[in-house]
Amino acid sequence: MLLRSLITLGLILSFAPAPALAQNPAEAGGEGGVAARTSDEGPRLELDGLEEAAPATAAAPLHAPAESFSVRLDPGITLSDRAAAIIDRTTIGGYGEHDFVVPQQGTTTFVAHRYVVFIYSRISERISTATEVEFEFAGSPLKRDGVLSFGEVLLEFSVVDVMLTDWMTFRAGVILVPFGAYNLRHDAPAQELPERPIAYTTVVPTTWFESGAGFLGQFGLGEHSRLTYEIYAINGLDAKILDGQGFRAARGSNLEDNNNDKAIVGRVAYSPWLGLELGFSGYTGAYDRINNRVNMVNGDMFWRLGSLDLHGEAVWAFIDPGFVQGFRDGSPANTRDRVPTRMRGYYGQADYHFRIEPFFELLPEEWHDGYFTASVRYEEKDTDMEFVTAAGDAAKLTVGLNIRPVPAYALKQAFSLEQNGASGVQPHLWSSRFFPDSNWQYIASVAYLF
Amino acid sequence: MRRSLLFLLLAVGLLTTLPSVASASATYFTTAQILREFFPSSEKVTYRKVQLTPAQAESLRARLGYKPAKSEYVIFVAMTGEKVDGYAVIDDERGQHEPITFGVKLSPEGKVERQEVMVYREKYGEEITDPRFRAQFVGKGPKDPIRAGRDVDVISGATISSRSMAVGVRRAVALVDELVLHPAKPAEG
Repeated sequence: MLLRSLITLGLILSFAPAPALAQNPAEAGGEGGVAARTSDEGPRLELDGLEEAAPATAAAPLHAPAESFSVRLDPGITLSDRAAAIIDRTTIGGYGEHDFVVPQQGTTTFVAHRYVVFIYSRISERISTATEVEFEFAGSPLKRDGVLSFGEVLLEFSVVDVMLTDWMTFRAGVILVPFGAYNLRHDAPAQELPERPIAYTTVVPTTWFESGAGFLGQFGLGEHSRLTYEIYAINGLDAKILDGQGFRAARGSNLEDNNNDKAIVGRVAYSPWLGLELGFSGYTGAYDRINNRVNMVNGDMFWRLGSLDLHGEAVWAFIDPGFVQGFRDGSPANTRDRVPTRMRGYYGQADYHFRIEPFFELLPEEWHDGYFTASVRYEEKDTDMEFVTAAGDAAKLTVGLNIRPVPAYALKQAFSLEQNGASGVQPHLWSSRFFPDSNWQYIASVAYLF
Repeated sequence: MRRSLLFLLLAVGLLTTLPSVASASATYFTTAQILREFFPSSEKVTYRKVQLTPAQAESLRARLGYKPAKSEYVIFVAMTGEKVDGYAVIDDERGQHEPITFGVKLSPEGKVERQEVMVYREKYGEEITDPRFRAQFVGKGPKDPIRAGRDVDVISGATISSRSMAVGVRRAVALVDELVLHPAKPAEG
């Protein structure tokens, strides 16, 4: 059923008229037909002797002819030639994030939070692969309570893309689930505050990744409007759905699914002009073997007003009543704990970018284009709307200030107040108990992209 | 289930044979092509090679906030008769991992009339080729900041590439202003 839906969608989209996309190489001047179209037109070029001065890379084709992709498969070539053929098309990068945490209660600590390595490579002109390997808390072994145990080294994203048309790419592998904007843009250097929104680590369990396949692309709607979409069939969430954790333990079914149902997830985003984007996401899938389902919707918004960025999201989850069960017979995962039936969460954040000119003039020359960002975020989560609990309900207010001497390096700091539902009353900023009952926390963090 | 898989294979097969396919190449323009695009009605396009003097290098450093990477720049000049139709600068600016080759067309007064990405080598961030991003540079001149986050909106998901283009266009505007339109007079000895 799900496959048939995907096929139908694919066929419908494939026969829609292809929109005129920005700078389509085939129209704007690739090495092929466009050169022929423009070569007889235009002015006389008196550029003799300029070859060395003009960027050589601009005049040369970016990619070698398609035949060169077969080089790496040629059994007659040396290993070094094969390696060169691969490395030539492969980009390695990544990002890291390291924190210093000062809680009101508990111990101050440095945290080697995450180190992520990207590997991108073109397999052919139309087929490419991208992978992110994450070492969280320095990977394995992980030391907790004085005991070494298994840490986390994960493929959180590992896909192979086939570019079918300008507006449709087929993607398969470990998918970054397109549910909400935050999960898609969760990279630490792209965020202004060191901590992720509380609802977007629980109700939406960022980083949310699942094995699956589907389509993504973009349509131009007129000169300034864009519609982007992603839709996938994935293994989906299992029955480890708990108050407090939300769906965090139910994600990440890369080895096996717990049922024959495949979840469908997708996001559509409309951007009427640069600087404004409105997104809507949906998820539906069975979480156990008796077709009890999780249905979720999410709305997200990003609006840039000069130096001010406003963004926020809201999520609701509707879960059929059931229990933590449905794993293979005899599995200790079948705890039969009650599954929450409704969850919700949201955040709203404002980021203001500014410069203090005399300050940057004092810094080394390469940092003269740096800038500060002041942020404020308010957020709530409720991972079981039938009960108010300490673990499952929270309201949090965060203010932050960071400096980016260059865009790829951020030195962040944030101070937050968080009230939970321990008192049995739903926590809100506007309740009289928010400030007296909240615990504070300070975090300084570095995030970098390389 | 098997029938569904066959349908899926058929759909993918159909899609890959559609005529409206895209080129995955990210070379949008060669040097000759971009100059013809920029100046379709000019009689000729020639160029000036300018070797930066220490004073010009220092002046550019003061304006840009960093020392220009090259000691020599090429400014393309489009002419019709004796009249200058405009200028163009073709240059590279570092993206997240790879250089982005771009071209900027400037009016005879040194204001940006068009900006194009010529070669994009990164896996992500190609949204900077979008016309609505590039349109932000039109009309910018030497007195404009041309800074991402101030008078140039960055694209979410393509932040570094957006900033790279702002840096590149700002440099192109400064080069034409500093080296062609308002060259510093050599110090009298």
